[in-house]
Amino acid sequence: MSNHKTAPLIIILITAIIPAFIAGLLSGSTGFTLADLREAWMFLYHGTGDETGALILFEIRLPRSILALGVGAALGVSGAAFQGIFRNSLADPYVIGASSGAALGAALAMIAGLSLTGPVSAVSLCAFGGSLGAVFLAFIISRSMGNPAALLLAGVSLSSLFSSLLSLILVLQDRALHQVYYWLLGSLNGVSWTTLPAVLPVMFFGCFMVFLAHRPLDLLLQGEDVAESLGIEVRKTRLFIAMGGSLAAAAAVAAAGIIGFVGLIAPHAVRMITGPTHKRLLPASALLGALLVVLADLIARNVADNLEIPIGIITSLGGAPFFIYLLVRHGRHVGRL
Amino acid sequence: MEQAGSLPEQLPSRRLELENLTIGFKHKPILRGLSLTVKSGELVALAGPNGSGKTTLLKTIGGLLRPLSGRVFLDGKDIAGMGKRERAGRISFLFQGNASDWPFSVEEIVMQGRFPYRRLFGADRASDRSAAERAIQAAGLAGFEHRLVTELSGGEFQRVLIARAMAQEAKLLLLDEPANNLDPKYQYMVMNLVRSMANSGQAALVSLHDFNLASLYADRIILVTKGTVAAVGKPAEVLQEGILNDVFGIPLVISPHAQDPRFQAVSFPLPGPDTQG
Repeated sequence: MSNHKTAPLIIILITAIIPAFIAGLLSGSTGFTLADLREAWMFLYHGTGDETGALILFEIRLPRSILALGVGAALGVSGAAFQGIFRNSLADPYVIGASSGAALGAALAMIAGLSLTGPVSAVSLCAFGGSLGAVFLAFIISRSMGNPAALLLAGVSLSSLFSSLLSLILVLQDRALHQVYYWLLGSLNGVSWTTLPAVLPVMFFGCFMVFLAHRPLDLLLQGEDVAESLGIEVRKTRLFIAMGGSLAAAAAVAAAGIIGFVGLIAPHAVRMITGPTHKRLLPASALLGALLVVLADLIARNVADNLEIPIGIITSLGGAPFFIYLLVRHGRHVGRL
Repeated sequence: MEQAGSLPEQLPSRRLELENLTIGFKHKPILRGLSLTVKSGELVALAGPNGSGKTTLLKTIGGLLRPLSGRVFLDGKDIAGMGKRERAGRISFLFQGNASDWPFSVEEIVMQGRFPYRRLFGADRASDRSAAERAIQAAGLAGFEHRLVTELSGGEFQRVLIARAMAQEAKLLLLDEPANNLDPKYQYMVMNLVRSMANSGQAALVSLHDFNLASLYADRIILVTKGTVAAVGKPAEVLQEGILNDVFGIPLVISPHAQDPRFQAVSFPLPGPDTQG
């Protein structure tokens, strides 16, 4: 049943992403039309036409929009991965504290003077360490409580702890808090072509690891004993998937700060159509995540004149009420939505 | 290890062998010194009071728990030396009390039984599809393939799980209370299914609370209590009033089955005197 609804969903998502992506290129503090885009294109290839336009479109907006796609897809896949290994459809990198952990790791790396460039940047790696550490802690805490809601409580506590640690370090370091806070709220501002090779391969690799485990993910949803009796090395597999999800989330955080709730909403929404089978769920989550971040970025740049609102604020404004709605609607069955 | 080699191959019908097995958790053994052989084609019922270690025993045989001592051989091979996938290709496990929270389709759940044989990636192979299809047919689930398991009744879902175990095409079946919480019709269907799987050459070790089912379907019954084996043998040998009274502490009544006196019917005694007003 859900099988033959997936292909149309994928087509619809791709069809929606294309205009959103183009709108993201054209709109902003300097507005462009499609004709302007062609002019800029001409300049790029023939050296005649609109040079300023070409600069804004191809040096600033294009890498930014590409990163938005990547960040969204990474968050979507990461959310689906965490929901699978925790058997909890309210899990996502933001909710369980992985994003804050990544932010703490990335900020520490930046303070230490490490860079966010190169194919696998030091900042990404530190973010990965922070993210994976947070996932471990969330897992251990929620497991000892043995209750699906415990994961969410553990995540909230961990997020709060990591944010406080981060603030403390910044205060002690006497850093420009404003700038870091802006980054923490999520922002795709200031992205250039040099950022992309530092984070996109990491995101891609993380997502690829999760995709590799699509069948084990299906089995893990059946419970540990069932998964193990069907031939899964439960611990190793879970670790592998957690690493993939953390890599994807950490690279997203390193590139664009904390963008909450995309990893929650994307898998949740597409699951209604694709069903829980990860072979279909994961690609659809990636696409919806990409669409959501591109749209959120579009809103962030255009809602106020001459002012860019951090994209994390937009996704939280949309995502937090959705999260609350799920909590209220499913009440005590938090673990089994 | 040499000892392991000497046990098996010449006796291929000895599918499962438990050798002086002690099971339980650290410093808390539940069953001690258990030895048992289950042949292929044989259905052995595992009975005993609540907490007597039936589930722990099944999990230990299935490799999910480690024995405290002793060994488990499957076709002569120590299961401790098998990888998880290899073990999954040889042992199907039906767990107790599974409700499904995730809306997979019946077909998807049954196909999960093929996991031990599949490569990580790649399309579904025809052999996997046909094994799943056979299991669905045998479990009476034809036409249910695309139904979501979250929308099934308890009895239907139990048959889906049995179909998954069938699709696994393992030589040993470990079934933990397969008839629990089912109405009589589904108990009957499920037990017939289990019996037919054993008849096709699989060995089955099935925990059962219901002695009537054990009497009708099992070749042998192993009755465990208080850390040890109280009785093992053909149903007629084990289902005796004295034995059951010792184990359960109530005077269950054994009578010949009304349709065939070779089978036993186990009835509760009449209500106690203090219930009669």
